[in-house]
Amino acid sequence: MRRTRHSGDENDNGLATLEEARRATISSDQLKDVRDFWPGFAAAVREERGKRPGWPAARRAWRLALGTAGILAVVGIVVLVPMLSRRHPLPAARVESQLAFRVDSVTIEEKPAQAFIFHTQDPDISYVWVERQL
Amino acid sequence: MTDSELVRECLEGRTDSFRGLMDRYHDPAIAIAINILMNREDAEDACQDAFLKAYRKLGTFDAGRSYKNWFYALVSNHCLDLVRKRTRFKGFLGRFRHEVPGVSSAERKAGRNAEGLDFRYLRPLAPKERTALSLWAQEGYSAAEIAAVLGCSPNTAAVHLHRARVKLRKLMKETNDAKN
Repeated sequence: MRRTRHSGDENDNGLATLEEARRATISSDQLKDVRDFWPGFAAAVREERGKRPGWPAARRAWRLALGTAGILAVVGIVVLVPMLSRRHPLPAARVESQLAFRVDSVTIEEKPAQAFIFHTQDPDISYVWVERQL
Repeated sequence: MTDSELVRECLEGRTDSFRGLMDRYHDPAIAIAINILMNREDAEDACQDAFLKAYRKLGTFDAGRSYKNWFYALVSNHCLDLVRKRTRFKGFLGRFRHEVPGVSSAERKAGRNAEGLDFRYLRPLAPKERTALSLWAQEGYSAAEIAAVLGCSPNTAAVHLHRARVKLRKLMKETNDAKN
């Protein structure tokens, strides 16, 4: 274990020698009844593995969560948006008229549509133009 | 089996292979930790933590480097962190300024603790000086290798080692003079 690269015989230059440094420090040979770390280590590793999902499991969980979120988003767009839109169809363009003719709402094939009312010179004739929302 | 092979086996999921690494560096790591912390119980706790930390960080270990140096760096840094925390704690509790946890006054006067470990010459040294001296004296490390462990430049490591040796020489001279 020990390697000696420095002779450390610099006694006269005010530096401690390698031998003196060895005497001043604790070596592994001086240790008696050293604690075995393995049981504690193995228990800690087992506990960690029990608590934390492994990387592949965590990755699968993330993929599943993202997939579910994606499906919910698509369902929301396809189903909920038209349902909400149907509840509040766009109001028809209102034009002041002596006949008090008005269109509150129009739909084409159950989808909201925009209505335009044109009054002609003839007070008995009005045209209503309805167009589908794109 | 080399350290790199054992590390590879651990990374493949064979936890038992870590036992080989643990057996190999168990005693020297405790010796380094004792030299830094100057308390055997703290040193053993620090090494237990360092082994667990090493196992968790094995994925970041560069197989081109020395596992020994990498692990000693973990041990030393963990011990130096503990010394820093201990210093802050002692500063907070002013009255314990010169106390060393785990060492009684009688033991301190005698220079040895209950197990006969002698810290007389280590106590006046700064923590990094103790680390450098320990690696040089017990592991035969060069300044460059000490630098790799301490995470500093080789020049800085050489300065730590030089200061430690100067202080040690002076202390030993004073002790000898006192005896004579």
